[in-house]
Order: sequence, then structure tokens, then C-alpha cells
Amino acid sequence: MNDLQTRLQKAADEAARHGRTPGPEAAIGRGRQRRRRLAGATATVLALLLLAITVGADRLSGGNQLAPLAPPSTARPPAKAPQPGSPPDLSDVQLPAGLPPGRVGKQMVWDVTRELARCQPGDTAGPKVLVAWGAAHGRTWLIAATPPQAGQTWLCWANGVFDAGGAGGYGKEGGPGFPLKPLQASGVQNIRSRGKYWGLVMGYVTKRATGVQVLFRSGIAPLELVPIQAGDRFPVNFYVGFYGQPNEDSNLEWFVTRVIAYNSAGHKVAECQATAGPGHSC
Amino acid sequence: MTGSGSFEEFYTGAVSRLLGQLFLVTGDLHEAEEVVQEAFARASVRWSWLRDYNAPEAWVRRVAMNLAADRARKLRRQARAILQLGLPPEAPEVSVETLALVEALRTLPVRQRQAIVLHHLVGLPVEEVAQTLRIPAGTVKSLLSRGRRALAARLGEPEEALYPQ
Repeated sequence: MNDLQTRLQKAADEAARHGRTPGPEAAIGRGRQRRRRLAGATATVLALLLLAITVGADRLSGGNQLAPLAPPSTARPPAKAPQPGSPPDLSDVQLPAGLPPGRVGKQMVWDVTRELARCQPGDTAGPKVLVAWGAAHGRTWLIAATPPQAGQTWLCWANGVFDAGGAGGYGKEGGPGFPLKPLQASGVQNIRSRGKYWGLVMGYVTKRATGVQVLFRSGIAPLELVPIQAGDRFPVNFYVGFYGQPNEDSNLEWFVTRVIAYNSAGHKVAECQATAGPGHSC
Repeated sequence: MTGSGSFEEFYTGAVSRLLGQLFLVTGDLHEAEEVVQEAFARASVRWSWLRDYNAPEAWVRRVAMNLAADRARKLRRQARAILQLGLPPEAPEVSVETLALVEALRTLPVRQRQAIVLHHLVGLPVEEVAQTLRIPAGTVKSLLSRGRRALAARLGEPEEALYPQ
């Protein structure tokens, strides 16, 4: 142990002794509050949007008469924040791929699509599209995205992986600081299901690609995937695939090493390196 | 939430360790408490998924590190106003040696602090530090080298004394 390590450890130990943390119950409560706050903020935005539409419609139907800017006293009350136990409001989500089943499925969609607002802080009005979802190995995965505006060189998309109870990990990808590439890869691993470990790789790929090959370390066979068609509103398509891990990965090193996209003639149209360090390009 | 008992065990076992690590990154005990608690809050709502992983502590640490970096950027923007108001810095109840080290660390960019803490305190190899911070391994090596040199200078000690090669 060198002197720097010794000093850092001593300082950390002292801080840990003097630090005051309110306990696991407080963390759990804070997590729930955070989720409710997000729900409340969305409900407020929807209520304001509804009010704006109502006022706009009143103005149009009223000819030269200006409608009052404030709602009359008989107007419906503003939408309440969803209460725990009430189904999430997905009225602002477009669902070309349908919905995962049940209230849990709605909650997953809600969780993932709320992440899209994080690409541009303060911008919650962009269309939210659930592009695709699927289920395997006891998990449900989802991909959501906001169609880019004309001239926009980046894409806002989000993904999530949930267990049957609706708990899971989700997050946004892309945003103004991440120019669109021909190929991108994300994923999770160490998903435990029936005594085996699975990894999930997902990302977007140029529309020129008709196939995506994912290469792995540790002897995992390459994965051949067909892109999910996202439609004309999106400049790219998406891909998703599960792979079996030979073992639990204790080093948090991604098994995926390289991703290659091919066109219908079998020619490579994009490639990226997934391993961390110099050369990482996924 | 399923598995809340397990979450409590996880929290109890990891919170002090993470608090110490984040204290060295933030340089402020209250700030460290805040980011660690927020990271655990986020973990709590994902626990039934996170518990399947063998290193949920690494996940919480990564979230806390990101939060610390975000807050450091905001604080930097507010720094001028705070200096004009003349607010005293937070003074944790720790030893003089620790205070000197923390004060020296606070003069480094937050990325250098994160790299030093993750590599020299947590003990992560350079590749894992790179994964945690989502930067190339070469950048981590550079951050470590520059960070150690700057830290030694701030402490008024030769780098070889602090970190023998």
C-alpha cells in the first residue's frame, strides 16, 4: 500500500465515521418520492397542454370574441398527479408496437418514455414513440425515441429492461451532445434467469443496414440480428439481442467486443468497437 | 418493492464506504451525503433488477460519481457568487491531515479527483476506471498522472514520496 492510498483510506474512513446518512428507509422513501415527482411534473405538463388546447379551440370557435385566458370556475380541475396504484397516463405516447401487457407493462412504458425528456432539459413536449418492445429470459425490454426535427443531427432515444414485477433499469441515450453515428451499441449483462446469466445488446443502426452482427469475447458465438424497422420518422433503425454468458461477469467488462452492420449485398456498412479504452467507438 | 430487506442489507454494508469515497471527490461531507443518498434512492427503485447483479455497489458508485460531477459543474458556475457572498466552506470534523489532503484534492478538476479515488482508493484497474467514467483508458492514465503531480505540488511534497513508482 503506497502513501497516497494510505492517506486516501484514512481520510475516507474519517469521513465515513463522521458522516450522517438517514438510513435505507429514507433512501427507499426518497426513491418513491422521486418517482411520484416525475409523475406529477408530467401530469402538470399534460394539464397545461390540455388547457392550451382548450383555450385555443375556444378562441377559434369564438370568432372575434377573445376567450378568457383563465379557465372559468366550472372548468374541470387540473389533472392530479398519478397516485401510487393508479395506472400511468400514456396519452402522450405513440404506440405503433403496442404495449407490454398489464398495468406493469404500462408502467414500464411510462418509465422509459419519461427518460426522453432528459435529452433536452425543459423540453417535455416532443413526441414520444414506443418503437419496439419484447420479452425473453424473464425480462421485458423496450426502446422509445423522439423523432428528430428537420436538420437535427442527433437522436434522443431511451431503453429499459424490466423484470416481471416492473422493476428494472432504464435510461436515455443520445441528445444534443451525441451526434448521430451509423452504428451505436449499449446493453446490460449479468441478467440472471433460471440459473443462467444473460446479456442484452441493443442500439441503433443506419437504415442502409439489413443485418447486424455482434461479436463477443470469452467464446460466445456471434449474434446475427435483423434491425427493427423504426419507420420514416426516424433516421435509423434499432436492433436488440440476448446472448448467453458463459459465467457471471465479476469484472463489469462488457462481453461485446465489436458490432458490424451489413447491407443486403453482404457488404459492411458500419462497424464499431465496444471494448472500453482507446478505440472505443460504439 | 420486492427485496427491500436485501436492499437494507446492501445499504447498511455499503453506505459508509461510498460516503468516504465520495467525500474525497466532492471535498464536502454534506455534499457527499447528498449524492450518496440520492444514488441509493435511485438504486432502491431498481433494486429487484440491481440485486441480480453481483456488483450493485459499483452501480451506485457510478451514479454517485456522475451526480458529484454534475453538481461540481453547477457549483463552478455559482462559484463567483458564493465567493462574493463570503460563505465559509463546509468544514467536516476530520483531522488536520485529512483536511489538508481534501483541500488539495479540491483544487483538482473533478475528473482527476474521480480517477484518483477510483484507482488509488477503490483499487479499480485503469480499464475499470475508464468504464466507470466512460472515458478512454488512455485518458484515465493521463488524469492519474496529472492529478498525482498536482496533488503532490499542492501538498508541498515530491510526487515520489506520495506515490513511489
